[in-house]
Amino acid sequence: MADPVTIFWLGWSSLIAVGIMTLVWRENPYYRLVEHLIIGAGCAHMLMYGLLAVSTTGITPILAGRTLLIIPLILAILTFGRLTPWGWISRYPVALLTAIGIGILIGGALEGQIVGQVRSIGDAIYTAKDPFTTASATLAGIASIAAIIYFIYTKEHKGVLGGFARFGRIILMAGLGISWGMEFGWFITALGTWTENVVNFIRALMGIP
Amino acid sequence: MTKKEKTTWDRLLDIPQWALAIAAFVFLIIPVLKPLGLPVPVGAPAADYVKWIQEIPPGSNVVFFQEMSGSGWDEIKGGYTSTLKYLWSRKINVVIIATYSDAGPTNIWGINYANPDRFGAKYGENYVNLGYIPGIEVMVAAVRDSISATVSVDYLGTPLKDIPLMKTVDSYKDFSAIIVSFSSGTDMDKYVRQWYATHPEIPQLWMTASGNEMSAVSYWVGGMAKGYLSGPTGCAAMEGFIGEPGLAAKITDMKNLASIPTLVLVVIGNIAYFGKKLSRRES
Repeated sequence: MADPVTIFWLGWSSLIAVGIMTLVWRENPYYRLVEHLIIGAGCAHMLMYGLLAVSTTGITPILAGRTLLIIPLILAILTFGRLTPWGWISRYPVALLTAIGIGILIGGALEGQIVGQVRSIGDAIYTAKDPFTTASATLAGIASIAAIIYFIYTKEHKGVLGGFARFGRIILMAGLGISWGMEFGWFITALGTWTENVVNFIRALMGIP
Repeated sequence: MTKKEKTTWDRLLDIPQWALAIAAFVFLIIPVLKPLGLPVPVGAPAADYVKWIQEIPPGSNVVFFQEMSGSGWDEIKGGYTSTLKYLWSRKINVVIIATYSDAGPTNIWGINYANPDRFGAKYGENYVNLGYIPGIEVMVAAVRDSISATVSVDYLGTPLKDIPLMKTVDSYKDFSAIIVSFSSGTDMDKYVRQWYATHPEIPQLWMTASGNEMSAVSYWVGGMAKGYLSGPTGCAAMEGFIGEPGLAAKITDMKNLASIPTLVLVVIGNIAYFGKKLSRRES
């Protein structure tokens, strides 16, 4: 028979899983209780981890002599300025954070996400060993261009541009459809694991190995 | 006023949600009670993941960014644990980092499940869990340049200078591969921007929930990721490779079986929808 601690945690997770699953019947107090529990626990967890991170990446190194780290710590405190009458104070850390974020992102995005992707399509077209790969890479290139054209709003979608935009829309819809189908698999996984927890809880209670 | 009589099409379209859930539940429960061990198809990205992970030289170091929170953990836990088992069995050292706060507990669960003692892997010598380091993309870039400048202690609060492995490992120069488990369809972008764009020679191996396959595939085709495990099916391939089908194989069974009523209901729903449309047109 499973130990009491295992049974306790299996019981907890089963009660929560069943509570969430009752939503398919209808909105009910049990579901709402579980929903609030999860949100509350999630917020508490994030807060504690956040505080721990301030300690490990900020306070501990400052106490160890890396005094320059006081500057980001002060900037972090200034973010809470929004909660005071001097809300403008928070604009400085937010602006700095945005600038650093965009600066770090742009450089890598050009090579990794734009040039690299275009080059890979070009490579596939020119170095392919079989006609299928060449056709596949060419289609990928045309589909990418068409999908981008769909987002051109400064010119009316008529004629050749309109044709490409329509093709782009079909490509986007196909992509989103496949994504949704795969996403559905994720929900099945979650449902499967919850089901397994409930079954394991019942097994543990009944002493079935 | 008389109530309009329901047609067969209407009745089909009005199947209650709870009935659909019960149908899925019945199919899900079968592999829980009796694992079926259905064959797992190995896709090309998963095959590449397995191929590239074998290229990592024994005795070298890898950095493992783990982003998956509890909500998606079941999708990749099989791949996470089997990857750790394989790395430890080959004496490859692993530095584990949680990119989001809710990935911290899943890391601990995964490490414990993979059981480092079984492979003689010692904490601090063969693997280190640095816990959650805030900053997301800025952190990923900072870790690439210097771990010791980014964080001073591990998840237990032990100073890095007291951890033997961290005396030899600090930046991208010390890693022979980067492994990433991510949860959303844009989360892997930062590793492409911060690691691939600057150091394409370091192979990237990914694992993610099946819903992100569409985003990951273009990076795999482009060579940014050498291979990836998508959802339990991909992870089951890794489990199969190490010869220990377990967490992912069981979930793959569940998904396969639960997909049967789903597909049947999708077909019924479409027939009913178009049937209703046609019958309206005729009348």
